[in-house]
Amino acid sequence: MLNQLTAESQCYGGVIGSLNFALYEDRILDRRTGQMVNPNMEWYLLAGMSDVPQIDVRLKNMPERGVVGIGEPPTVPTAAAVALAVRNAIGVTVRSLPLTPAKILQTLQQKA
Amino acid sequence: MKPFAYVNAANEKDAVAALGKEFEKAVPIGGGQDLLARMKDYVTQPDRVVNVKNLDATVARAGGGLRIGSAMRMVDVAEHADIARMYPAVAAAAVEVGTPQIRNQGTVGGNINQRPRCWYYRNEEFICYKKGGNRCFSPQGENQFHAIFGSGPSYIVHPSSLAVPFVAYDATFRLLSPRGERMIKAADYFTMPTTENVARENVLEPDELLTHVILPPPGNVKSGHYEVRYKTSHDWPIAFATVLLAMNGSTVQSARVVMGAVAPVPWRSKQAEQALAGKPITAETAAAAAEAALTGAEPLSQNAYKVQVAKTAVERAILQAAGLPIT
Repeated sequence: MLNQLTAESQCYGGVIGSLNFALYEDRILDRRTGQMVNPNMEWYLLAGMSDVPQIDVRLKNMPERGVVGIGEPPTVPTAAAVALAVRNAIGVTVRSLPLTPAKILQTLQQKA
Repeated sequence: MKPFAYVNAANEKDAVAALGKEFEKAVPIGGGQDLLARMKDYVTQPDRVVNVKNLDATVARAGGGLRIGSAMRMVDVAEHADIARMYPAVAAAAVEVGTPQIRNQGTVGGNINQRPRCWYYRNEEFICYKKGGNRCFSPQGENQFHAIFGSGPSYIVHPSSLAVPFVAYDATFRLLSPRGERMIKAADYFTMPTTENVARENVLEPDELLTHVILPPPGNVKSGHYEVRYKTSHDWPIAFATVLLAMNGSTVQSARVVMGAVAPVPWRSKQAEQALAGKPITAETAAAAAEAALTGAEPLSQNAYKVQVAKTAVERAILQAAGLPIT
């Protein structure tokens, strides 16, 4: 680790970004015209202060790896982890992101 | 935004005199939390904006109830001791609106009269019924946030959080125009869209100002208010409900069940109210009443999930009113 504070901050940011990827962000296009119907902060949902959970970052310093990046690793699998956690919680797999209430309820209904 | 004239109204009479006959050409501004955004997006393009922030923003005891000036800020509604004590659902609704910044600026009048959030209405590219066009884009389009009650021509959901408890508590709105004042019951203020009248959500005339909300004596009712929203920070509710219970011992004498974010108007369910009458409140009776509340729901292609969410909101509002745990 070249700088622990920076490395941890990258992890916080990556996890928050991935939570958004898993739960909130959605580019919604009107199916008839292709127009984006949510080109704004109102409906392109992003986590706010109350939506971000406690995030625990644990880093293992491995100088033998040399200098590598840290931006992507927290971002990519976190969304998958959230999706799998949802699957574990509700017993059905929702196969597209974001995991909106509409998709969850629809998937649960189809299973029933 | 289009250039506009700005009038600082000294009192309600001056404010009304500065309004006009044409819809949304001379408009009042309270906190501007909705109006300014609409002006910047060219959804609303008034020639004149009339500042009503300095009009009556007080709460006065009136005939056993309360009289609330419509210039009152949402934050003040959320924190007012009398409102919280006498009409808990109003305070509960006010405190969940928007963000602290929005509640600091937004007014009661503005919250009641705000225009819909529908993304077709708010998008310049789509000329819908509410903008003088000849169609509603939601039925064949993206309608996950649109109405599950009512059969058009417009499928917006009314965005006001306060409207629902105001209808439940049987509030009256005082409207002032050059023709004098008129008192309209909250339940009659909001209008369902019809082919003749699709552009507006209420009976307010263009030269009329909503000056006060008058709440009758609450009586001995238990209040419940439950909102379901996706994000906790700064999101619109998917569905919410205000439930009032007048008890006769351990059974319900009468109830009021009003839902929000499910229809173009605050949606009162007499079926749910009848399902509660004469019953004690248990998990079973609450669930049955919630089921009854969604009678007649006609979901669109993508908003069927709202039926389930609204049911949950009603059920939990009933349990909350009865002081039972929500499991």
